[in-house]
Amino acid sequence: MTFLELQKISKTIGNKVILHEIDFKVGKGEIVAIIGPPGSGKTTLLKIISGLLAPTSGRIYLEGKDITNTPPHERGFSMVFEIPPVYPDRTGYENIAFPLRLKKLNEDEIRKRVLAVADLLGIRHILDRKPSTYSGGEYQRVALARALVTEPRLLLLDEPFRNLDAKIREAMVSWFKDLHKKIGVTIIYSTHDPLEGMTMGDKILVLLKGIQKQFGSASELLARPTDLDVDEFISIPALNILKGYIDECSESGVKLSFKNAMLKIPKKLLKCERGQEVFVAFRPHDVKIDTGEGVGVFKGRIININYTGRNQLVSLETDDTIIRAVVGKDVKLKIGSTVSIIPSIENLRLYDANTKKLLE
Amino acid sequence: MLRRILTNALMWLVLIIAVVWTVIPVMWMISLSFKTYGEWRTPSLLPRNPTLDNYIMLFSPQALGIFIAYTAILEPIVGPLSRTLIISATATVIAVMIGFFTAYGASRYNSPGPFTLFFTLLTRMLPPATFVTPIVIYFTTLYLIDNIIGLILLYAATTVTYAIWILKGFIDAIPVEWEEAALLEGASPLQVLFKVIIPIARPGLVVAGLFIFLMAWTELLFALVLTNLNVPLSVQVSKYVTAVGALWGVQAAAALLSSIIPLVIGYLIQRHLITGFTFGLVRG
Repeated sequence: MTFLELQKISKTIGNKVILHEIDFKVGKGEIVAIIGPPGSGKTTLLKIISGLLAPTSGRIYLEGKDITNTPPHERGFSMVFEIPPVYPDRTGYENIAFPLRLKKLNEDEIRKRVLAVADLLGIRHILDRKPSTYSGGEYQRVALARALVTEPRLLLLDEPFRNLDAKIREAMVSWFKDLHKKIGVTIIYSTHDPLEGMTMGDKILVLLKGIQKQFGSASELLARPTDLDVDEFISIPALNILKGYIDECSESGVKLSFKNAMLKIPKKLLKCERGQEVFVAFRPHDVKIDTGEGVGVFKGRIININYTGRNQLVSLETDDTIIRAVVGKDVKLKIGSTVSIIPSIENLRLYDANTKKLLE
Repeated sequence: MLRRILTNALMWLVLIIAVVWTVIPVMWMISLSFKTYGEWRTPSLLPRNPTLDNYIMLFSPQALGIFIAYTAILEPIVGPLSRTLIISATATVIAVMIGFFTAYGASRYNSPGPFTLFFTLLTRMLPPATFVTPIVIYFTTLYLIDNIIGLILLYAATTVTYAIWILKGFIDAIPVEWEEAALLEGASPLQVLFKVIIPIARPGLVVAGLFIFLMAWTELLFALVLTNLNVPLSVQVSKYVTAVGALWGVQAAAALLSSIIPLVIGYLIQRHLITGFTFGLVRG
């Protein structure tokens, strides 16, 4: 069932288009993650949903009711901002109680609700302290408690874990998923980190330069990115992109040619033209390396090896470009040696060189 | 090693000179205020026969017969003291209030533009003596001569620029998101101001207030020109040394009294200066 629906939301400030026709639906209890690099319009979009900003055009519906012109506090949404609203002059308790005091609840009710949400988030022991004594994680939890204490219909989170160290962030993400299971509130969540977004979100909205590039589940995104920009943005480590030409189209597949290599893909394309310029993209995880002779499509010279825990990230110089491959840490490789590179054919995607759209 | 000793010695020397430089006049003032009439012009730092006569003189000039010739023109210190308290406190409240709202507007809405804001500093760029005459003319027309309301308005107007600039810095440091969060939770713009901004910027309000209070407390030039009978404390202190005669000891006592009150006020509000203006975890 659709809980929240955005219809062609656009925002322009002066001549600058901040958001262009954002259009998606959120089901009740779902987490939608908005992912995009800094400056892509994530915060603006969240502020429009919250009502703090008005869209230039487009409509927002909550359970079928048009709320585009409803003032922010009547929407019953909460938002945790990038700089979390934890006021430094008062204790954690007073910070969490702040929205309840605005609603003029009586002191017993306030106390009951603040303590309940503090227990839920495991921050009861820090309620009497001032924010200057908090760690990064505690600070975020107090901000979250303040947002949850009003029992919002929709929770908007703007890069909530941005200021945390990598390890704490990882812990917070899984802790947060557990919390979501318990309280079941609908969440729209923004992050610049595609991995974090894909871990958190039931649905993911890819927002690049104010344009909604794709909306779907993490697996849809990984399997079928709509265009090269999306593929590039969500791939970590960075995507391998090769420019080539279509040499031959047939029922059985496509033949591609590169500077010094040929590649045959057993995939039938809907539209296929000889001589069409294409980008071939594959993730470093989908590349195998063979130290033997002759089997690979590309030959490459190892120019760099980085150890990333269980794996090693190998950079290879080929005739066309530099290809990166993730290889198990036990494989013995030497910088300077030449190896064969075998991209996994099934996990390889073709994009039109002009439109950057996925070719299927 | 030798170099370190020398550096240390030099440092101590500079410190000692600085301390002596600032403390000696104060010590001399304290000592003088306890000296008897005959001792006023002697150079000793400790009074030989400590007396409270000078202080008694301050509060009831007629109590000790010997100075009656001079004191006939002097009123008890309580009058000027209470006037200065009222003037300084009221001017501070007015200047800080106007300054706060101006700073808030300048910080959040970028109005009235940075250049205009800069112009408010103009009153502090000219030597005050250059606009004494126009002020006297205005104040005469407005019946504000020898009226504490005149001094209140004047002090508030000439110090408001400090309040604006000090508070703008504090308000700029408060993220707009903190206001938006409160708006989202149903706060009215006024509630945002009074429940979010003012409490968080309180140290700034205290700093600006203290600063302006001290300026108003010690101002002499305009007070001297614009008052006649209803003199504030700064003028009163200067009155003990006149063409008729010099009451050095009484003046020292008055000066001491005049500096103790700001000291006490400063001490009482210093905890507001120290407490929590730490945005701690907000990292870029």
